[in-house]
Amino acid sequence: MLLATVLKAMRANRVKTALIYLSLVVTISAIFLISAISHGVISMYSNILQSSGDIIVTQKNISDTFFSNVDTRLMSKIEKIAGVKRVSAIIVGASPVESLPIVAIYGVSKNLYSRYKLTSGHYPKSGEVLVGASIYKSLTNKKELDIANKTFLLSGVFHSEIGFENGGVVMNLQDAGAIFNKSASMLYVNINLSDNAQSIMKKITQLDTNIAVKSTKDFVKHYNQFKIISTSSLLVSLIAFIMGLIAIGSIMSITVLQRKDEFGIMKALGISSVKIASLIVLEGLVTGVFAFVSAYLISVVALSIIENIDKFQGYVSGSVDFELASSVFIATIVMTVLGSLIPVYTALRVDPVTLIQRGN
Amino acid sequence: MIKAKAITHRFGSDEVLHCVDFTVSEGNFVAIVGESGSGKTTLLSILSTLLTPTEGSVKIIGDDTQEIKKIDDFRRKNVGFIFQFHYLINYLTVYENITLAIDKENKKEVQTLLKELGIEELHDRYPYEISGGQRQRVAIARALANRPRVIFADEPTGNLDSKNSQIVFNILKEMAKKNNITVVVATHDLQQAKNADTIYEMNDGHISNYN
Repeated sequence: MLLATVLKAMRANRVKTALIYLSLVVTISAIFLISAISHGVISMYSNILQSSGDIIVTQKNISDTFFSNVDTRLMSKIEKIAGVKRVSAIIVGASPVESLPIVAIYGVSKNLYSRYKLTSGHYPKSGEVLVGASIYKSLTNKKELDIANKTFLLSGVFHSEIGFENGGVVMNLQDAGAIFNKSASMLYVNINLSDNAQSIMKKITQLDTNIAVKSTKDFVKHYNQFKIISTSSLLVSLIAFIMGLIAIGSIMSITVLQRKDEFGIMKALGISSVKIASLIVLEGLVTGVFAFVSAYLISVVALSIIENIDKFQGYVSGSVDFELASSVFIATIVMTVLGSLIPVYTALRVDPVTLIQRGN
Repeated sequence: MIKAKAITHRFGSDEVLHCVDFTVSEGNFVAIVGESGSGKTTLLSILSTLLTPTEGSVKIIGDDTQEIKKIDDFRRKNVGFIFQFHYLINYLTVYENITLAIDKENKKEVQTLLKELGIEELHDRYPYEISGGQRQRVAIARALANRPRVIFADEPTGNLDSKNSQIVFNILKEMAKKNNITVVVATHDLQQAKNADTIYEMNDGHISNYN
């Protein structure tokens, strides 16, 4: 009976219901997309790091790996530590390529080549570069390209499971070092599973006073860029949430204002304020659930389209996982309950006669 | 049944009721007549617990209205209302309007009530699909549905033509008598008021017996 009454009321006030629904769909989709994309960026980059090694060595006291410079001569010393399986090095840089304003450049030690699956050609020798599948599509000159006033021959094309990398260029460590004027941005250390990571990390730290040594898990957890991205995403989502709340609150206020006589009559008939308020809140919740489902579907489709747009070079991707969907669902419920409850609570504090008179 | 003592009510600085004393015995059909703006509706609203008086007290069925804790429950169980503009909810059917605030135990008898009021066939119709006279009968059915002990009717025929007014007034009187319900009607129609057991007159916020 309660739900049937709610559905009838929603149908009777269909324009306002539609407006609330649309506001919610836009807000929830915005929260979904912002969160999914930022989460996607973080997970792609952390996947690169986590698939590269168990321990990460960077320069000490730097705010970002872009500014890090680690001496590659350390590699041979680290390799000698018991329990270390492999040490590799990477330079992460960025440069304009053809008409693209910014492209990730990965200078990697040869033992990291295997992570880039060749689809054509061979791994780069000196003066050559290997390009990702996404960037390759947008290149006008598919034989050579200019990076930092130097011309490199294309040795081949690779495909990576991490979409982020497909928009990048891979070259050997020495060529990248010459461009970015550094030895390496980071060293990745792979260790035997049975060995004590803490003790190995301690030994690596003792090799050089200018380095910071962290487990990859710890590095990802405390990486400043990830913190900035997730904080920004949270803030933007919060702003979207507040805007959505204001939109629902405003439309609900108009609805409540126009239905004051109806609530006055209900109160006069002896229906409790709690029950009247629950009717309005339930209207909000039903609209919220429909809007959530719609926004979820819109976001999934939008993310899939964004991921396949060549222009984004695979840099923008994201997926709506259960955790994100649950958080957004809770946010939707909070938004609709608050947005409905505040105006109706304010209205119902008035006596029935005043409600009926104001409703007219 | 109803005892109002020294009721004064102000809307802002405008005093609309001046120290009104008013008593209604159980089973009585009382009419309050008066010009528009004389204070009838305000008095009725206060007597029926819909409005709290600025000063004074109202006792209804032995309870002081300002001391009743669950006023919604009290209204639902004891008081019925009929308004001039029927105030049916447009998106609910006739049956849904009548049973909107009804207690479970009274639900079975709604069909009988509809039959007695001659609106049985309107069961599934919406308020905008029926005539003014029919709407007011539905409003009477809604007021009677919970078997109240008192019914307050504010200009119940004010929006109807004379023929429908007479029908609605007769139904109200007949149903009240049959169920031993106390009725207080505010009306500006003296002819209709003459059907009541007692008539009071409101004049500029003061009440007196109508002679």
